Amino acid sequence: MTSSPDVHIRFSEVDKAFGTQTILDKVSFEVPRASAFCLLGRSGMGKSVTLKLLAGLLAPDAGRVLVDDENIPELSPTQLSHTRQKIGFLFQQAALFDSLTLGQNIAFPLERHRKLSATETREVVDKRLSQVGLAGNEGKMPAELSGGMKKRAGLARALALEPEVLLVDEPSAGLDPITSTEIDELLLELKSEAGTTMVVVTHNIPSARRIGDRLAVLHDGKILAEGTAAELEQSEHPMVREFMNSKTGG
Amino acid sequence: MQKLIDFLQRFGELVVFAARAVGSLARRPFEVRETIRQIAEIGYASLPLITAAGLSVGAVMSMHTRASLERFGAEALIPAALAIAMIRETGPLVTGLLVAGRVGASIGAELGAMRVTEQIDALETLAVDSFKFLAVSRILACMIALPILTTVMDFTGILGGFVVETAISNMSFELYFQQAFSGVGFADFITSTLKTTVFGFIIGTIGSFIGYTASGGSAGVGRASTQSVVFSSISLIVVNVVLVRVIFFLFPEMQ
Ligand SMILES: Nc1ncnc2c1ncn2[C@@H]1O[C@H](COP(=O)(O)OP(=O)(O)O)[C@@H](O)[C@H]1O
Ligand SMILES: [Mg+2]
Repeated sequence: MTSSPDVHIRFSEVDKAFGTQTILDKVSFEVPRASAFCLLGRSGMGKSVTLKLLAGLLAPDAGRVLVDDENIPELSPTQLSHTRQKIGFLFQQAALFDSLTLGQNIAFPLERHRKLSATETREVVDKRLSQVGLAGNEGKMPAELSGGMKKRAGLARALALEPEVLLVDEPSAGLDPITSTEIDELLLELKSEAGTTMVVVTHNIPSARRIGDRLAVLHDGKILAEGTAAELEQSEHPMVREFMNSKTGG
Repeated sequence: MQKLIDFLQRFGELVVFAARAVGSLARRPFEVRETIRQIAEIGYASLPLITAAGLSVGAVMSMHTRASLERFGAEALIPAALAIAMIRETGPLVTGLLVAGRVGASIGAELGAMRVTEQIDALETLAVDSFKFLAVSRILACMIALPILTTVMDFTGILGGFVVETAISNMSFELYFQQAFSGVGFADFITSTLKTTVFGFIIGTIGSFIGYTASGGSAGVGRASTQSVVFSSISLIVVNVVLVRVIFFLFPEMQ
């Protein structure tokens, strides 16, 4: 199977179970380069697990997880480390390093992988922090931040290495509507200007409509429906239509 | 029965973890900065505890030694007896157990918290080998810090003994230390102190393993912390028996 050149991420017939609990049952989807794929679904349906499979944090029981035509589960540790530098990950709970300040959190990947001077690193940190509306907070410790601020700081860290692929777990959870819209705009800008490919897990339907080129609903181990927002509204599944009609963010 | 199987499985995982750590100790990339930071955290920050404990243990042992030797009119042997006991066994073991308490608990809790809050996953997504960065650096730091801390414990112990002895018999500093070291061979010091490198490996490996594989939120972090102390202390005591046998076998003159 040769993929068309513009497919960046291909999730192919993936099975994943924890013990006897099946999470994903032959799930497949594709994400074209420089587009956003929004993954919707109720809590506990395996959305975070899907992102972790894409980043190689979990191994699938069967199937292939291709990023840039590389099968993530088959990569050697060195190859995986190389590929991961091209993938940014925003965790559901932000997962900031709590022994480091905000600035140090964002500088961390730069210090590990880029040969920058201290001043250059500072400039990148400042730029990333102001992109997410946290300018001037680089000295704060993660414990001093609200949930929404942690989320934005986590996004700034995920963007530090200018990844080609961005995996985002519930970006608007814990954010007020205005900040949430600003984050959506940042993601849209990354997509159109930097050509970033993204997989976004969200409960926020208005946000998914704004940023998602394609949306999919994950339910009981299967993708129930996949398409543009307009297509999903017309879905024959009542649950999918109900999902699309919910106005509230989560 | 199921409990026994679970335990054996965990033990097997620990052995694999330890083997992986041994294999990583000498392989690039070395996390030099993180290892130095951990030596400061584990070693330097333990100094007050070790010094205070050394002085007290030495003082108490000196009183007991005096009580025993006085009966045979052998007070002159007090410094030498104390020094041998301290350097050969008390220093290494007490240091090991104190570090197992202080450092084992903190490694278990810190890595456990990083695991359950997905900070270890975050390290991985930032293309950092979390095993080397977190576990190997701590194991190596424990292996380096323990012999140094043990040496500090030995000396403060002998110093504590001197304080008690001089209060009772007015013995001079020079005479006390001259007598103390008359009975201790260099081989005594080297073998018993290097033995604590193994203690450091045990404390670092068990703490890292339990923290690294923690699960179950903040309750899980608490469990990881407690288990690290319990298992590293017990392993240390048991392995010590074996190490003493091995040392006697290799250096028969020490018996
Ligand atoms: N590492 C793990 N070990 C065992 N079970 C897990 C693990 N990660 C997730 N699960 C389980 O998989 C299911 C899906 O989790 P998740 O992907 O986090 O759901 P969500 O769609 O809300 O993000 C949940 O039932 C969760 O308990
Ligand atoms: Mg989730």
